[in-house]
Amino acid sequence: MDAPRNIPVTILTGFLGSGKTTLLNRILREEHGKRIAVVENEFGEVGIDQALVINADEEIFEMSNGCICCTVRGDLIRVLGNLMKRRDKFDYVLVETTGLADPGPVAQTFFMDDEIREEYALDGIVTLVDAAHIEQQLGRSDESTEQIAFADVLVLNKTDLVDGEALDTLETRLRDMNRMARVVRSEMAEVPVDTVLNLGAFDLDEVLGRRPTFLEPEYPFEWTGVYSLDSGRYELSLADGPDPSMSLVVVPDQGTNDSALREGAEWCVRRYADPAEPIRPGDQLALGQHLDLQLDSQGRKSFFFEVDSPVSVGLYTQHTAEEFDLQLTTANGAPVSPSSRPAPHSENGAAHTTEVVPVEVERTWVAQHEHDDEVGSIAIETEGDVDPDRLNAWLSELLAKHGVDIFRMKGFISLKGESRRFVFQGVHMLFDGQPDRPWGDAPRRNQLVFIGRNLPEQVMRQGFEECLV
Amino acid sequence: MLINTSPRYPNLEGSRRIKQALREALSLSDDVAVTVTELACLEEGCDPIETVIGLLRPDAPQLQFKLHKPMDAVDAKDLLQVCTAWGFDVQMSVLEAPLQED
Repeated sequence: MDAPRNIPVTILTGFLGSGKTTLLNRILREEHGKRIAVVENEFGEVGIDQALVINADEEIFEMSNGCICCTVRGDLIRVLGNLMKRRDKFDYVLVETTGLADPGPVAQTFFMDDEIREEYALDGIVTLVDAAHIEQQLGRSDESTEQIAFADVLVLNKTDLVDGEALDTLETRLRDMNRMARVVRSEMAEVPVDTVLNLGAFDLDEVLGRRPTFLEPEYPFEWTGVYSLDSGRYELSLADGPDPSMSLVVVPDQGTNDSALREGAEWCVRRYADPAEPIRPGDQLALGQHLDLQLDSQGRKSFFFEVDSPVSVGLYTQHTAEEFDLQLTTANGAPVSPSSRPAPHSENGAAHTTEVVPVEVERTWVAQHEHDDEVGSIAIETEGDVDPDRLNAWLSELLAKHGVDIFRMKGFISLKGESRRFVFQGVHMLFDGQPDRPWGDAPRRNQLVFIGRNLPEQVMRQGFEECLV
Repeated sequence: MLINTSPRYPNLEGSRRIKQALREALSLSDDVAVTVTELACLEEGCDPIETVIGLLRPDAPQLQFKLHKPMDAVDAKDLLQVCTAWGFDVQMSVLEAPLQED
């Protein structure tokens, strides 16, 4: 007889001293009504309170056949097999790894044996991060990088030892490495238990629902404002901001609806690929060109442009308008649109004829970051059906070539001829997928997420698109 | 096939049948684990599915053997080959009975 329900398993990883055992004890002490079996390594830093504790030896078992090379935790397979015989004693399993462990073999253990896969369900991977020391650890060890890449939840612990700005920088770095994970800050590993247990982290709907911008593409600009202009001369002015320069493209004839904005954004991406021309305050702005506004002088800085006939222009700026208090005003007594209002500042004694042009539509974009780390996330989202044979061929090649560097993957696919969503997840070369619920009236689409090291993003996107029917 | 929409996946029955046959033939104690895994082979010229069988014993070397066929096609002769490769002396008849059980 099959078990009535899979037992959820949480893997707890983190470098030495990151607070794993503190968190573990906190979980065990809390009144959550779960009976937890703990599988810990025998070199646990601190004793574990009141629980079914099994020590394991972290034996690595390598299954390699020349084509597939992957490792699992042999001891864990034995322990989980034995636990099945005592399953009336517990209803949750926590596996704590040593600080130096690569989480790959532990996670892979849950994909390797059909019986284990049937009895247990990997609920999530939680990685404790020592906020004060992670920067050094990331520079020195592959394991700490992999622990971050594998995580569904990153507990940024010991935040009391680091100042706020450094924490923000660190959090941004962690998010760049693993865009799928939720980041929770804590002192003394004090986090609500429901942020680390019963995550359903392998449920992609939940992940995407939580971070709606996750699948958004990144752009080299952060903000767009569309302005409706009459013919005349205009002044773009900026206050002191966070950078001594900012790049910009002014798109002539910019529409205001969502598809027009996306079209404008794609057009600008190509302009942004051109080298930027430096522009000093007082200079003329060329429309449709990649410009780099030089903002290193003190006080407000103004740039000018002219339009011959009424038109809507889109400003695509590297930073948000707010960061530089960006304003567009009429210049030198040019006619103003009816909705404009007096400018709050005076420039060259011309304030009486200068009026602020209100922004008609504005939107922010997911800004492209400098990705210093080799580890990063790739999200592919497309509509349409996929040909199963082509998908098989593509995935086989991808996993054979890059499986070693793919830490996690998950998503759903719309297979041609299949009425249900095909849901998959995987670790390195191990891929586990099956149909789940019917599409029904929902639009058929594909979402795939990969976290890995030096993955060829463009090649992967193109490869997947070639699988579409 | 990585993309498998077959209702027979995962193949619990097939996996348990092989494990049981090996447990009985090798008289394995409870603290020994047998793993049976079907892996998609990703290289050209290889069989598309291989069955990897592992024997995980405490305080003894871990053993594994690969059969170049799907789990459902594994028979007593294959398991005899596995046992022999692992250094066990087993009779074919000991393996046949559990494999034929439902």
